[in-house]
Amino acid sequence: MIRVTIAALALVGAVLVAPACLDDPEARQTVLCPNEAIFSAYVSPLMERRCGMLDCHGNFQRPMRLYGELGLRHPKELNRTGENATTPAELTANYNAVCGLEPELVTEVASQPGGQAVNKLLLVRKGRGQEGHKGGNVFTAFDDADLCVVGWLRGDNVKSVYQACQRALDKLPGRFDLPPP
Amino acid sequence: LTSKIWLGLSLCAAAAVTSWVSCSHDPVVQEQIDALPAEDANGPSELHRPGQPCVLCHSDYEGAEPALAVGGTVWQQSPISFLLAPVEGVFVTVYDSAGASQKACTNAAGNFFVRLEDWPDAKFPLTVQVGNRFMRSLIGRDRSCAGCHKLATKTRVERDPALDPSTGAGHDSAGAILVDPAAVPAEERCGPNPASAASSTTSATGGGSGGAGGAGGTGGGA
Repeated sequence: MIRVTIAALALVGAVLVAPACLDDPEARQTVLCPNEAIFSAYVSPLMERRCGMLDCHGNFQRPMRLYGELGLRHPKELNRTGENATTPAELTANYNAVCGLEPELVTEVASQPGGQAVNKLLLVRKGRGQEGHKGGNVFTAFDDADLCVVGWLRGDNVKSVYQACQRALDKLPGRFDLPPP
Repeated sequence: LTSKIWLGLSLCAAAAVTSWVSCSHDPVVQEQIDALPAEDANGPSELHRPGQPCVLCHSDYEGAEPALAVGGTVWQQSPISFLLAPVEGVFVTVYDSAGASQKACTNAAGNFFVRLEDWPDAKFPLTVQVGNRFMRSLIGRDRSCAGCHKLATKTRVERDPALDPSTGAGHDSAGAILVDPAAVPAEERCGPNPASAASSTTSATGGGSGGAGGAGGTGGGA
């Protein structure tokens, strides 16, 4: 009798718990990410050149994969490394790669422009060398590259983001002029 | 008791062997080494394996001597046949992020290299000048130029619809490092057979395997 009772209770429990395991389409969260246009115009060109080299994030095997004119090209297009400017599809892929790295945290950053959450992002911590990063310390807090990336994330004035990104690009090989805002 | 001691010793030995093997084996690098073509008929020399990633083997991992700080191959492309041929006698200057630089001269196979002992502390990212050409992108960490400057292979041609079968440029590579010997400034020429207009190809020549005879200078700090 006891066994039957236990079995019945287990069955009821299973029936009650099962729906909790089912996917609830209404539970999907929207990921917010800072301004895509500013990223594409100013931040992506810098990240393509400083992070997206073929032997770094311009590699198919990297979780944060970056495409660009001088690095990896989009597999659904017919461009080659070093030829033709970065395409809209590549810019979108770069934006998704950066925003998709930590969706919840980047949503928090985008929801509170100017907040401190930006300093917790892996993107920023790795770039600053505060987190293990094979590429080492790519930028330091408040230098031009940092002001470019973090400024975009933080929702800084577009002109200051543009200026920081341009100054950071000027330190890299080759000349690349960003379009003024 | 003796059998227990022997069992313990055996287990320790097995653990030591296992840990040594796992520490000295990198499956990613090993797969790339295993995929390299067979050694040149003349065996290893500074002219061998042009266009292949030098530092896969010339490294702590594989232990080929000399260990290299950086190495690669410079080519020219025939304007008629589009085939590649090595460029001898051109300086390759590599600059690091700390302001240091090293010059190397390409040899008869187009190969150049800087020994690790001559530049043990190169600070990445690097930039490069070859003859009159400046690399537009940075080198993040790969010491083998051919890690990114890949030649065309059957596998790459099959996988990459954008691939240029002559230079190897495609989705994931800028292709061979190309220089026109005729355009190399005098101060960027070097070695016993400096690059010149006379060494520029105007007819079909093969590329991609084996080194021609002759000797080229290499190394040298700057």
